[in-house]
Amino acid sequence: MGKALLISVAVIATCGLVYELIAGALASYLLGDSVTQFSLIIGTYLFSMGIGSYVSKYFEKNLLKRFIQVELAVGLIGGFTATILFLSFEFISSFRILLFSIVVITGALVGLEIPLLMRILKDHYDFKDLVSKIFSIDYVGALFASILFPLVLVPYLGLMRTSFLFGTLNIVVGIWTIYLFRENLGEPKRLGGLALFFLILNIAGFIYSNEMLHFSESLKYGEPIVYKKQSKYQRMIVTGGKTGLRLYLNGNLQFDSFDEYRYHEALVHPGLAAVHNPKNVLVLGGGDGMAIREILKYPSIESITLVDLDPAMTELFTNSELLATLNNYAFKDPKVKVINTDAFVWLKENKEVFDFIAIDFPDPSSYSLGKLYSKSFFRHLKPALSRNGLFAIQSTSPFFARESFWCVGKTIEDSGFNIFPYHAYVPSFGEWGYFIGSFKDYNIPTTFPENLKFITKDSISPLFKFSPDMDKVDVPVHRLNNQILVRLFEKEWSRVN
Amino acid sequence: MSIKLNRRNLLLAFGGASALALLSWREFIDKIGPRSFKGKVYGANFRRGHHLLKPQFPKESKVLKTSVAIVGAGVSGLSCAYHLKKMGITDFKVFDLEDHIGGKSFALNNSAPWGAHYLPLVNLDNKSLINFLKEAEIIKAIGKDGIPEYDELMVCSEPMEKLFIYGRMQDGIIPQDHIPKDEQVKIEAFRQEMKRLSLLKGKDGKYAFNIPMEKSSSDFKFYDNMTMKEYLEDKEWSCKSLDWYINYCCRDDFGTEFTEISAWAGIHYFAARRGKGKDLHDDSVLTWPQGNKFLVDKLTSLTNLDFFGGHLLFKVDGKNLYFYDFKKKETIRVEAEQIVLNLPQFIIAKLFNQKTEFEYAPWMVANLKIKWDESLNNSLAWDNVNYHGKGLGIVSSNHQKLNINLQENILTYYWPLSHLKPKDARKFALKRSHESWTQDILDDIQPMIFDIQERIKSIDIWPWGHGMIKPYKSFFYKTRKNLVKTPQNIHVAHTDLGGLSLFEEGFYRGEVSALKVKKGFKL
Repeated sequence: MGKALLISVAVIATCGLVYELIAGALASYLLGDSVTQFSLIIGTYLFSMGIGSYVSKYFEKNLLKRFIQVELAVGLIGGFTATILFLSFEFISSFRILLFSIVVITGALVGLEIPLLMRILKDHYDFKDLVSKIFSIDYVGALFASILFPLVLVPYLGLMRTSFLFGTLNIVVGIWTIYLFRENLGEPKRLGGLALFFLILNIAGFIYSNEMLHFSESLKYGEPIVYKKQSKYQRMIVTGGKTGLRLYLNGNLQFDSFDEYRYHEALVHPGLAAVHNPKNVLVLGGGDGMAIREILKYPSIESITLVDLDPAMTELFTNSELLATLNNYAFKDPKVKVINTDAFVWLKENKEVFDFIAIDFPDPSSYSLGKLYSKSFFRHLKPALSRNGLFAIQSTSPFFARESFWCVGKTIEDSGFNIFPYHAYVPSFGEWGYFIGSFKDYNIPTTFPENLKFITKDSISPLFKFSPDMDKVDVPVHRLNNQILVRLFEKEWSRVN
Repeated sequence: MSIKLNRRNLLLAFGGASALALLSWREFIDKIGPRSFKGKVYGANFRRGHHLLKPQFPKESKVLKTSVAIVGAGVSGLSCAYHLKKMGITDFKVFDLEDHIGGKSFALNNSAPWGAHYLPLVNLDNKSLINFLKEAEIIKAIGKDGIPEYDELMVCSEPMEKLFIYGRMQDGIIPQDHIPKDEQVKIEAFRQEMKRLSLLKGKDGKYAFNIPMEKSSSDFKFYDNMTMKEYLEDKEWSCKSLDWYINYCCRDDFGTEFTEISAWAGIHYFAARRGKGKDLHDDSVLTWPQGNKFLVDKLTSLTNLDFFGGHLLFKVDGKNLYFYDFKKKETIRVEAEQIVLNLPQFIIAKLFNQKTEFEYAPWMVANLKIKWDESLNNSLAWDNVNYHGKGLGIVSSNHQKLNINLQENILTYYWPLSHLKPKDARKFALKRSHESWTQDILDDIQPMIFDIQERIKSIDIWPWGHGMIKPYKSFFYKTRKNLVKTPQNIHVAHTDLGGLSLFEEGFYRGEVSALKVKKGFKL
């Protein structure tokens, strides 16, 4: 029987080190600066083990039962460590407090294990034998764990499953001990029942860990996730709720199928309906195909060229049944040509001329995106637009980011276009702004394709009027060598968010 | 069901564990141990150059004839060729020890610089350089007011410079954060004085400080009699932050500490540039992912070069030049009416068996290919300097690109080895391994990119034995007067003649030598 307990020493030694490594690895993943995190976690863990060892002297009776209880507790807490930390990271502000509480509790429990075992085994062995055996096994277990962890466990199981696996092992040690000493224990059935319950929890956790991760993301988005993909450029997530589908790119909402028609009708129709007999159209950005859906409503259109950086995005909105219905299978239309490359780089080389250009880039939230709104960009746009053509560009919110909005306008104007600002209310985004740019004058059109839900002859004119709280402000031109728009945008949106 | 815990089993357990550990040792080290990185130490062909020390070459096996032989294909040599062609002289050949054109304006795979990497807005009175930039379509037009309109895509975009100081990145290289009030006052006084000097003219009507430096007034010689450090002390401006900044600038432009540099040279850095561009602030610079290789390619494409790479000039005898061709392993004799040596004085001194007091600063330049993402794009600028670092910082070659979401970048790291005497620095550089260079580089960059270790794909290193001329105290009015003497048909042109290693200087020296060649033909 003593030997059986020695085997459990090997198991619990391995488990103990694995929990420490999990906490260290998680802290480095989530908080960065791996040297500091590992060092702090290891120190705290060892210190807590010391506390456990010290406290062990206050346990006087029922040592076996205490040992089994400790095993079960370590198994449960250790098993759920990674899951709890992963899931809570997004939701709680004081993540470090939780992290170190778990480290302290696990460490203290692990610190109890060896002293209790030694006292249980002291009658079976000579003291010098006991010490040498227990500690040598303990250290071999530690080596085993530290080699297994980076080479096998993390690559093949991941942190959550590793955590559950070793929690399970701890509980198995507990159950085995209950079985071996069933005669000596007071209430083996009650203890056994608890152990079995913990065991099931851990095994369930092991099996459903992916689902739990998925669920935690759903919580973050507030709706179930129906599609997710990490492309070369961005993390794409589609959620489905009562109102419809939403697309998030890198965590930012791109559209809600409930009201996206407002955004895209406003982007396309005020401009395109004003162009006489449009044939050749260019879309920059807009890989979701919604703008193309609107453009295809004009029968005179002969060709549409769409330039979007991410092939994964256009691919998704071409072939996913779920999402392609949203753009009415726009990408399957033979008039549509898709080019997956950088818009500015493409524009520099482009020789074609277009009657209408819809520009739907992400907001200027970084210096590289800022280049797409610079004076240089609009100067390169000039040769691509026909004399009587128009372009329309989404230009962030004139309400939330008033200076940014007018900065885009000023820049377009300074590049040699006439500008015609307008705005639309899109519930998911709030008040949103656009500019039409042209070489000539622009008159608000009076005829539109049939069955539009937002832009009509009667509803369009108020969009071109700005209330005082969104009205024009004087701002500098956004150039590559001042990147003023990026600074304005950051300042204004950080106020809101 | 139980394992016997005796000595045999214990040894087995330890043995097994050790074996497992050994088997996966490499993988293990790769994951958690100190890393070694891909890449190598290149080098200007100093071994080829060292043949000059003990010239032993085969007898000539070929003779070439040309009207003008241009030796050295750096900016001076290329500018000479460019100007000769403009003057209608087209029978010339260009030779260089290196296989590539461009000298120190050279790039790694044409995508990141190995040396010179930018050009400030050109002074409006530097007509010939402005004309070249116009021909090269770098200047798109010249306004009625005479202000050039540069191609915006070639002007360094914002954010241009950042300084890592006391734990954070600040905008601009002049220290601002946590700088005491009295030091800030001194920095401001220095800047005001530089502004004044930049507009100051001498009795001869010339600007006190100008580039090319031959156009500077000669009324301000006294600045050459002191070092930059002595100048600051004289003005009572010396303080920790300003000293750091001035020393940084001197190391950047001259590869030399401010305790050694002539104040006359040092002030040129701050007060000799009055360039302007339409819609640009005056501190704007022109830059390209491949650095000044771009300018070199423009010079070359406007010239149609007849270029001979890998040719070491080892003897000059009247109209005859003797080259050793490293590729064909043969000696050729070139017979030229006129000869332009676009070579530094230390090489010309060897060729003509004379001595020179000119000294040259050794540099180390490294190109780090790294994994890149948008987050770095926002935290870093074009030029990123570590206040607490050894080197001058890192320059991002992606900065001018128009792409979104680039996944890779090359960062160029510059380190003038100014802490040692040039001779010792060259010895130091020759001995160093890839690992030890890498360690220094990473120490400097880590504070600015905390996970740089995980991002690196390769590190390539280029030590330059003679990177730049060192314009020490009294260089301009004393050292520079004793040049190596050469026969009349041989014209010497190199940036070291002016003490400033700048594109403008090389361009100017090339032009002057072309004029001399033209004059030589008329005589």
